Amino acid sequence: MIPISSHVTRLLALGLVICSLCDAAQDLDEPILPLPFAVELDPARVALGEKLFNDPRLAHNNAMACASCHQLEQGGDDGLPRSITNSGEPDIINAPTIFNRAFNFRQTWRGAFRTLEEQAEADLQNPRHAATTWEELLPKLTGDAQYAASFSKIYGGVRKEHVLDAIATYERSLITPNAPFDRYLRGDVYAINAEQKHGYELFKSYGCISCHQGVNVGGNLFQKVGLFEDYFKLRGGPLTSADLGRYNVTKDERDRHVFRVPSLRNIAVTAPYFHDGSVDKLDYAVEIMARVQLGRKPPPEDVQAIVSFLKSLTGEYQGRALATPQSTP
Amino acid sequence: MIRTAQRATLLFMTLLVALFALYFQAAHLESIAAAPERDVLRKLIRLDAEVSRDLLLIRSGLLLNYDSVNTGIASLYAQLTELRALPGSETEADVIKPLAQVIAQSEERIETYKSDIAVMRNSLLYVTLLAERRYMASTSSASAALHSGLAHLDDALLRYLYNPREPEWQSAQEVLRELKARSWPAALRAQVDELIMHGNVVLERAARIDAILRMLRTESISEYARHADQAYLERAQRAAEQARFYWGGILGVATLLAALLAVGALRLRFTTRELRRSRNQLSALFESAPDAILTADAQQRILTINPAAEMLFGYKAHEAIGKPLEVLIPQRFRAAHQGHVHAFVDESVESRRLGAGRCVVGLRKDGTEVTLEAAIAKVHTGGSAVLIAMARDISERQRMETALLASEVRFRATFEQAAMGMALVAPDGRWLRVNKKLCSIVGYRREELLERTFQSITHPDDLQSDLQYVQKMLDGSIANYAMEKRYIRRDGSPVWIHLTAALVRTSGGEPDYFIAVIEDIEARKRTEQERQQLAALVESSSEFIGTATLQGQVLYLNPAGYQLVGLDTNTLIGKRISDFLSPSVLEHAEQTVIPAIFRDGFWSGESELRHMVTGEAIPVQQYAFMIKDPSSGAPMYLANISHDIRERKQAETLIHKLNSELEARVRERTAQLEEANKQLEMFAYSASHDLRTPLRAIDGFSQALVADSGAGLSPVGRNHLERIRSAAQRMGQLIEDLLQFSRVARIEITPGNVSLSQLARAAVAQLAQLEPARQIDTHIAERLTARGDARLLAVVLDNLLNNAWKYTSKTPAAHIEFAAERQDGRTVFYVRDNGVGFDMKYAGKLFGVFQRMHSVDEFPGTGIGLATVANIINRHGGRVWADSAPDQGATFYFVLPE
Repeated sequence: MIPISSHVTRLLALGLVICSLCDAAQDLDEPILPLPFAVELDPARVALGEKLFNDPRLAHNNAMACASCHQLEQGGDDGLPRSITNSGEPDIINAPTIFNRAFNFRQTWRGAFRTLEEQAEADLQNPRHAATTWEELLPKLTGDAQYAASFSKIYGGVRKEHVLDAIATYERSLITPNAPFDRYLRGDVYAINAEQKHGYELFKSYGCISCHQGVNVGGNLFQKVGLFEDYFKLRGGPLTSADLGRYNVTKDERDRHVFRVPSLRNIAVTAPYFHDGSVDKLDYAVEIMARVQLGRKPPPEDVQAIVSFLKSLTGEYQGRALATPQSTP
Repeated sequence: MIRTAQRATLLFMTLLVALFALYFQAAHLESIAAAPERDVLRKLIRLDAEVSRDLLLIRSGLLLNYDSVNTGIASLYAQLTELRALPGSETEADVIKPLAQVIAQSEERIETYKSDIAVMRNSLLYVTLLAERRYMASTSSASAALHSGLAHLDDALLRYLYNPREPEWQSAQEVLRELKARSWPAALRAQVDELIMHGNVVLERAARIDAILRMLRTESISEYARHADQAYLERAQRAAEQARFYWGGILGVATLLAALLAVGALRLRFTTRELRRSRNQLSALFESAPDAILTADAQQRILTINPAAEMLFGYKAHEAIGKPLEVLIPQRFRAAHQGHVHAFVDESVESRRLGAGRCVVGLRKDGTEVTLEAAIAKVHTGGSAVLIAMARDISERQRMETALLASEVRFRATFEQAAMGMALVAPDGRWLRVNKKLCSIVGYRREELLERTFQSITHPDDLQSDLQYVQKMLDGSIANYAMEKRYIRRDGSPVWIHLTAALVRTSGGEPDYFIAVIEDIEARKRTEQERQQLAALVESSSEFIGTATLQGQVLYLNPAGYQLVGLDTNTLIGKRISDFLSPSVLEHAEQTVIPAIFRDGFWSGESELRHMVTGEAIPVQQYAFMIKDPSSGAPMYLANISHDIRERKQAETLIHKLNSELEARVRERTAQLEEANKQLEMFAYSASHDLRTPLRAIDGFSQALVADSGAGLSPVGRNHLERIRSAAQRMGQLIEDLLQFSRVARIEITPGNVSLSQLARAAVAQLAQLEPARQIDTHIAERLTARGDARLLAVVLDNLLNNAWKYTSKTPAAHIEFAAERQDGRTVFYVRDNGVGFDMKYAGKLFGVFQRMHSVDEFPGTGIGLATVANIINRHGGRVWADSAPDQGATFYFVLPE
């Protein structure tokens, strides 16, 4: 191998990088970072992915699409405590929002999947969800003239990697930038009001920020539910298999009741809350979190200010602020 | 001959086949020797270092979220996937498998680390918050023990966090144990439990985090990757050796072929020449081991181009061969390049790198440019030089370096903007990089600081302990440390700082640089010193000084306080303010003192403390006040400074005793005097009464004498008799007045509401009836009332109005007024006339018995009236006085108690 004088190269690159990062440096002060305005993706794959995402024929019973539980007009979930499975029964766990998922370090409450592709495949095969197999699905897609043409044009054929890539690419396009709080982070000091600023300070000083931070205000680490008080005792009712959390994936005792910290982006429009969908009201959710995760009992005015801050995390999809049918005036 | 030729042909063919076989085997081994795995492993090492650095930054609070750590881990997995995808790696399971395991383990630990650090930070935040606000002590009925326990716990936890070592761990645990073991009032128990819980969480998580950091260091991905890298290097070397062996084989075979040809059995001179040339080319290629290989003749026409070069430049071999070498160089570099190559061809050196110290830019067939690392060699074959150029695409490497730099720039931005002083320091102590804040703390300009070492600006007294820490860090026995020390500022003044330092090691494990975080704590130190001085002042004061919660729980008492009330030190627990007070002042304290403090902020006055052993009451001068939160002004504590006034009290008691004895004696004398007065009055009354009878006899018989024998008397005798009668009548009047005077003195006052206006009107009416001829302008104010005895007050008004009537008898336009006015909040009644008045120098005698300003001839009278007035008013507890001047009229004022 021929060594190269790395100092000189670094110097050159440093110049380039400094120029390109001069203004980005402003973002570094806060533990929460704004979402990017756009992600560069192949529009053809996004379009194909969108079609697959909304197509109920992907399921074995031809009646359940990804979009059944992840409704863009519902904040990216279904607004139910627990989703409805293909047999019409309630599922075992709350459906998380589909928005901004690419910024989560793992997917699902249990963090079972590293990539969107892995997760999409698992859901297609999940007996409660699409309940299909590749042997069943691929011929279906090949048999559809439109799909066959699209796949052939983009990928040169219909293979399982291609189906997953298209779905995942579409999911990567589902981002909600430009929330009032992001505008605030980018320097617009009037984007949020005084109460929301106060709420953000409380959010930091109580310690919520220790887990809910980064670009997705969460979604980047695992944490046990019930550090200071037994969450499940507080909730009541029998323990379910979903309550075991990450233990279901690792079978490691230390992972009992450990969950991926959920993102708080768009939290105001993604009720009900928690993996069991047991709480409807955001202020109550904040109180429970303070109690079981921080060992604190904030007074009502603090809770109100934090809720107010959380509302500033609601972003825009395709230029329109997210809302649920219930939340629109 | 033919047979020989056939044999030679057969031999030639065999050799040729062998030659090809050898060639392919050698080429395969060459590709192994190039070992692309090693690039991936190097990336893994760098990524691991980045993740480690991010973790360090997160622990030191410089990095505020986990995104970059997650990205780092994702990249590690991507590299691992790439490594597995490389051809031939499936046979390398022994190298890749442990590496994958270490990555998975590290990831698991980092996940624990992330969630632990979140929990630990929050708990520490809470304990620190409690300690800072002294929340419990001020708003609940917490005792001094909790107060100090909290402070110790906070201190121990912080020390442990900054410097995780056994003693700190133990001291924090001890504080927790003590807090737990102590018995607390039920109301407090929950809060203390909460505190202990948070404290335990910090310790437990911090210990785990440190264990993880230690493990990550000893079983790091870098180590395994280096190990794997070593394995691949060895493999590559083995392959290279084997390749050399095969190339040797090729040479051997080729030599044989050449020999065959030299024998001239076949006319294959051309082939021989080609083989020789290729042998030389190939051996040169072997020496340099490049990726893309091109050969060119002295005129720089391309002779050969290998598949890697085809890939790199996008030309197929048949397109490239024969073209000038410069088609592979962008237009703008061609002239310079030509020059370099010409110079090189003429030089005597055999091989050199092109673009040493810079990148060479290549031009692809499709017009795009590519950054290359290139080398060029020349080989002489029979007098003519052949150039061998070798190049490899380094765009990827450059991009990675750029990415690394990007993260460095992020780091730099954080660094410059930090509110605390930050520096990177070389292992020998030179400042490598310092931020603005640090410069302003020590007062040096950046350039000046960079010429110095931290040793040179550290206070000599603090240097030794600092250097010991540094040594431990270099040894690897500690990962970081924190201490308070002093720097010497540029102007020579010392400045206290809090230093947190961590060591960053190179991927090779060598100390690379320290990250130092420097906080200016001068202000805090000064406050601490001031606070210590104040504390000493309070501790050594001879006054009783104490503080209590707003609910009355005593928190602190100074030694003089303990001594005064006879209490053993540290027996305050559970004591309330009321325990310190004498029972006699308890009610006063509750109803007056405490409300006054809450209302006015302080109360000052005398009180009594209680001696705890003897129960003795200790009189004190007390100043009790409220300590308020300096920022919000909210009440926080009650405070009390009491001065022992037992001695003064004794002196006062003595004076009091003397005074009361004196008063008793005065009272005794007064009583004697009153008795004497009474006897005198009794005497006056009986004297007057008894005197009246002989007087009446004198008057009566004088009158009878005039009536019966007046004619027989001479005019002189009659005149004498008249004068006797007049004297007797006057004497009678005097006795009458004296009688009234003494009666007034003896009458019991029967108080009631009296209309003075009405009494005055009655008096005036009587006077007018006696002298209807006099024209006097009288004015009597309406509705004047007072409280007193109606008969006596009538006497007062009769006398005063009578006087006014009398002394205006020579005034042409007489005017008499009875009215009242307000003076100093009291009602003052007055009788005013415009008569003859009197000289104020006699005012003192005005109210004495028989004192007269005018002769009887001028104005008749006995001189008892005003004495009677004064007597009555005095007996009512009121006051009477007069104001006048000769011929200016007179005003008599009196007030009566309301």
